[in-house]
Amino acid sequence: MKREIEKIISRVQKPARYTGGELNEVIKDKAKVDLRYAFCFPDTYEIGMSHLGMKILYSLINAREDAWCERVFAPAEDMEEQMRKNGIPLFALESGDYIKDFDAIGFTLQYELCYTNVLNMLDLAGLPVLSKDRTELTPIVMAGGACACNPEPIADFIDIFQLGDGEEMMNDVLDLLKECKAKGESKQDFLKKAAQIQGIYVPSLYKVSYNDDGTIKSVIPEGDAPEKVTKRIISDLDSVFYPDKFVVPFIDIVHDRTVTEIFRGCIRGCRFCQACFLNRPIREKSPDVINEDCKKICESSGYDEISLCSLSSSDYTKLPELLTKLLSWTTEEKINVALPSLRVDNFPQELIEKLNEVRRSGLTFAPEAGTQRLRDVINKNVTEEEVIETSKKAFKGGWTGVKLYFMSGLPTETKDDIKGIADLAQKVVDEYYKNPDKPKGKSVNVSVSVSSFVPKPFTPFQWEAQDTPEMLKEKQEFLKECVTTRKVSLHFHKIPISFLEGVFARGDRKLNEVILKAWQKGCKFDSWDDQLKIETWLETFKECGVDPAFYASRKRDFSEVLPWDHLDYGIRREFLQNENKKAYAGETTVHCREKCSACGAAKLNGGKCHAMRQD
Amino acid sequence: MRCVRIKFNKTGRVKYVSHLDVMRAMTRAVRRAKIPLWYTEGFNPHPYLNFLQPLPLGIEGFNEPLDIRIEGEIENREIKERLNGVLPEGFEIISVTEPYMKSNDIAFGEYEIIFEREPELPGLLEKAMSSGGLVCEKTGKVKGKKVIKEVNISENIKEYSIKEEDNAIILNVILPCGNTKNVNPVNLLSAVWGYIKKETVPVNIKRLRLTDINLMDFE
Repeated sequence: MKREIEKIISRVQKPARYTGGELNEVIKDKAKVDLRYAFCFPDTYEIGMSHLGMKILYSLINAREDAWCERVFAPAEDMEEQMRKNGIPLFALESGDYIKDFDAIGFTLQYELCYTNVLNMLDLAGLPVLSKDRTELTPIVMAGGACACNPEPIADFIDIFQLGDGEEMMNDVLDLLKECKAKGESKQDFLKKAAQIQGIYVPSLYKVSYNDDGTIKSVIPEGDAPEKVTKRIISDLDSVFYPDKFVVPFIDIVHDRTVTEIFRGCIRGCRFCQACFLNRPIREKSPDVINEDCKKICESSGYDEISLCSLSSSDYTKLPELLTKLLSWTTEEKINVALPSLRVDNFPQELIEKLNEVRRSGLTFAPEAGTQRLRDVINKNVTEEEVIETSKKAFKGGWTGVKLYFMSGLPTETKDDIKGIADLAQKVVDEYYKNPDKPKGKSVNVSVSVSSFVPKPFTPFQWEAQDTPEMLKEKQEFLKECVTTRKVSLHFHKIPISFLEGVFARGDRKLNEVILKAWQKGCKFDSWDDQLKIETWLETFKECGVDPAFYASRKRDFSEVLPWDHLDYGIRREFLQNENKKAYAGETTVHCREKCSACGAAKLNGGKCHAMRQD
Repeated sequence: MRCVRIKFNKTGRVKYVSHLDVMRAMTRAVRRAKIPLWYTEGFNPHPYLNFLQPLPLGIEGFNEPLDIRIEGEIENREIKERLNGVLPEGFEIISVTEPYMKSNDIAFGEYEIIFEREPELPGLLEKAMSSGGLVCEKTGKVKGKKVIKEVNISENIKEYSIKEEDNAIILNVILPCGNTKNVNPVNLLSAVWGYIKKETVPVNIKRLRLTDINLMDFE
């Protein structure tokens, strides 16, 4: 560690966030690599180190002999203060070297409210935050992750965006960068060539023009840049690179365990859910490969917990086979297996028992809406009976609490739907007391977590108006009145956070100026309840002449050009429009295994979709 | 089930890893080394690891004791070799033996505080250490309320010496370290700075060994 860094870290909280040196970190000889890559997570160490995508790409880049990938996280406030006071630029954990001298800087964008942190990290690194002010080829600043599906609000800061799965695309980009660097080519040359790689979006090569009402008129590519940028996918999850080692942190982080993906995509098609549509078509990984991955990582890390990662995990077609394989060795080695994303309608008793063999973790279900009518609108094909039946099984299995997730502010929502949340929670409470074998003297706790609905790009609700903060507030107050028992505990997401998220999620390029100014005024860590300065944001919107409600609370017409229309995630716009109409008609759409709804994503995989696989 | 006493060094950047985090890192290392551990019997079985005298954050440790309980046949030498094969950089196992003393026998810790060379520092340090008037403030609790107590540190200094080397000035000091009385060298330093009205950031602080009441190595 550099002496100047060591001098300051003895003065900050949790210094081990900044020292590196964890088990399995990758150290290389910098003289022997052609490319140095700083993988930046725009939040604190504890959050970033929990992210699976970063673990995959870190190992993937480091598997190349010609590149060295290092980790960088957003320093906490006390560390930032010390760094700025002592003139220490942002450094990478492995080498302690300053990232401004690296060849590439990559950000992963997992939530919209990290944007000011991206700017802050570039600035801390000693780099200009605006892409046009960084005139040299290196460092190239790239970004990927869920929010890259509408990157327009930060298009001025990032040189290139990676859309979709990163495993192959990352190598293509690095190959090109290495070549351009060796030939002494300019940044402009690199950008033009990068735009030819499938999945790469170079925002500076697209010109956006607007109508008088502020909506988008057109997005025109320059030169050879493709009119539509199509996201990249990995076709075969069994053969794609997966790490056999995770960097094992010393300090306590959010998710500190072995993680493997069991499939990508989702068959369900809940109309609010962006993750479902962004990750289609569904691709499964086979039980043997998952089992081997888990074994290797547990062995190299010493972790005593495995988490199987996917959307709606119980839709994995070979779940019983996988669990049998895993439990054959995990039980003996005292390793706990967790399935974090289960649906209530297909959660078999047999599974509850299997998972119970080692240690017991929490049970969480997401009915999302309080009434059947609204659940039909959002296509969450779960019935009240199923929620009750599953709770009953869970209580029989020995659980004394369940968590229920809901959303408020969904399209067509009425007071009856809000009251339905309280009613459903009450019915779950009642179910506990009906259980003759319930543990003596133990009370039940039904934890109800209510978030505010944020319409997202590439979902059937991408045209919808988000409820205003006032409407959301009123609904929250009403729900509080509806809950009459202490056995139900209510938790709400903070409304200003959801509002700002709503603005950025469907924003256009006019937001770049707002984000830049708000950051200059000290906004950062906006996703943290205690750090969000909503007043400063509102003030900045006003100064820039940008109305946040235009983005969040305005219903769009199907004919409007949306800021992300030139990006192609495989899902047909007509499919989304049709789903939107069905939502208003209260009609559901069956899941992909029952009947294909022709969403369009299979074209990305040569027409293949595992939902239709008959084995 | 048998209990073994492990002695390890913790040096370099891992000195910034806190006690609780070292505990987790060691637990994982023992699992990776496939050492047959004894698990507690209960709803949530976990292995038994006991760090007898937690090391304060930012201080390097030498010969730090750690007791673990194992089940099954494995030689001490084998435990040492396997652990050294899997530990993160900065941790090293020095010995694995049966425990000879009880954890309550720990009475003192010997520290080495290293400074960059400054011409006046040795004299100032000597003046402060021999003054008998070193005090530091410590937050304590009286009847559940937080109060700031003044603690005399001078009367707790068992032994000390000041050495000058080519590139460094080294203050060697033996301080109480145990269940009943404990003085953190960082507190000693802040008392010294208060006394001589000058502050110098040390390059490093090391805890060289733990001892019993007669200054014999803790075994």
